[in-house]
Amino acid sequence: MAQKALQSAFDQGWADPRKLGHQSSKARILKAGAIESLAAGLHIAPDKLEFIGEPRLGNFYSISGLLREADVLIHSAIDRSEVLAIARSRASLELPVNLDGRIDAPALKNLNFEHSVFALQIANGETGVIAQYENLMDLIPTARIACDFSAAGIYVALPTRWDTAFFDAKSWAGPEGVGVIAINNADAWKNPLPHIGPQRVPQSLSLPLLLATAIALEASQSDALTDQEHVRELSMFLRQEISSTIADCDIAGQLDDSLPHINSFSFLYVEGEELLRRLDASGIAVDSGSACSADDLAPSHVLAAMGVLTHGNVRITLHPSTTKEEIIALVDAIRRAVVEIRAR
Amino acid sequence: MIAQQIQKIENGQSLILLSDDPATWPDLQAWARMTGNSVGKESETKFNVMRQNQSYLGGH
Repeated sequence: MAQKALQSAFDQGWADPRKLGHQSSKARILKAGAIESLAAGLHIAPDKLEFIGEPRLGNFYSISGLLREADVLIHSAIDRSEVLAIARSRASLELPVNLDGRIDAPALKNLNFEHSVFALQIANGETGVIAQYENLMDLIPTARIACDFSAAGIYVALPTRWDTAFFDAKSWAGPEGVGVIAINNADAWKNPLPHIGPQRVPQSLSLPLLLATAIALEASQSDALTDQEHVRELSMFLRQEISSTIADCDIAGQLDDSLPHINSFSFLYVEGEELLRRLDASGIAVDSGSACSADDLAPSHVLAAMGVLTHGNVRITLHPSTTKEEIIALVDAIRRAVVEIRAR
Repeated sequence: MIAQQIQKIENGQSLILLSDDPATWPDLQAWARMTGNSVGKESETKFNVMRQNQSYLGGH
């Protein structure tokens, strides 16, 4: 549905809304309508929203905009590499996680730095684990909070206290190339890039993509709850099938309190790249967190931080339209590949 | 490979593993948890693997 809307959006919204003229005022109206719709769907006031055409810069804008020189950046060991990169360049504190991917908050004292920013990853994109941050927030009452919703989308509500939030349109089946940055506390945030003029982000986002983002959010909300439950059942079924038919399998994260659609499995005595190759040969494309398939030849820092096996990893994302038959066929293909690799 | 070598030792005995692969330590720990054995780290490239699970049959 979003695809058709995108096509008509390109037809309608092509004109630059900043310029004067009949076509442009129509574009301005469309833009305002899209922003209002997104604001309603995200439960954030429209004037707090900014849009960028490179979602991967969302972490940078939402975190670095809050950081002052004396600030300590607090983050978890399973945060995205973009966050780890920001942390490495300054005073920071990395919080370890347990096997379930949860920050062990009570074990940490002395967190209340005078000046700090907490990069709160609401849900982890690789494993689906949703952060349980309430206890942690009590320990850092003066920290400014930058929330990363890029994986969580609209499945999880905003915390009661937050300073910036960052969303990726892909998380609600929107188009690639749209990031949403919400600035709750305009006084606490400063544009982290060199700039001339008061604009908070470069205003060069494609209007048709913005329209498609709004339409996708509306579409995902109408079936959100039933779809979620259905996908969770499918994931439960997938995990049961895998663990009961394939031995020596590690599963990253519990399905309870996780996003319903992400499933990450690691198999002992199996090389990730070889597994991907065999699955690809049977017509199945999946992702892997194993070292041999990542660009930088290092294993997934998320799995390693959790203590989950990084070897022989496949990540499977399910959709509301996935069928049980497809899952059975997928599990069978994985089982055959694993058995063949182990037999060598 | 660990799975094969560990068959040659008795419960309570250890192997030394030398490796410069960055995935070694986290994955050794995961393997130990999954198979009921135990592992230790002596340096960035030297690890010991102790057999503790009598019934562990190793890989397939």
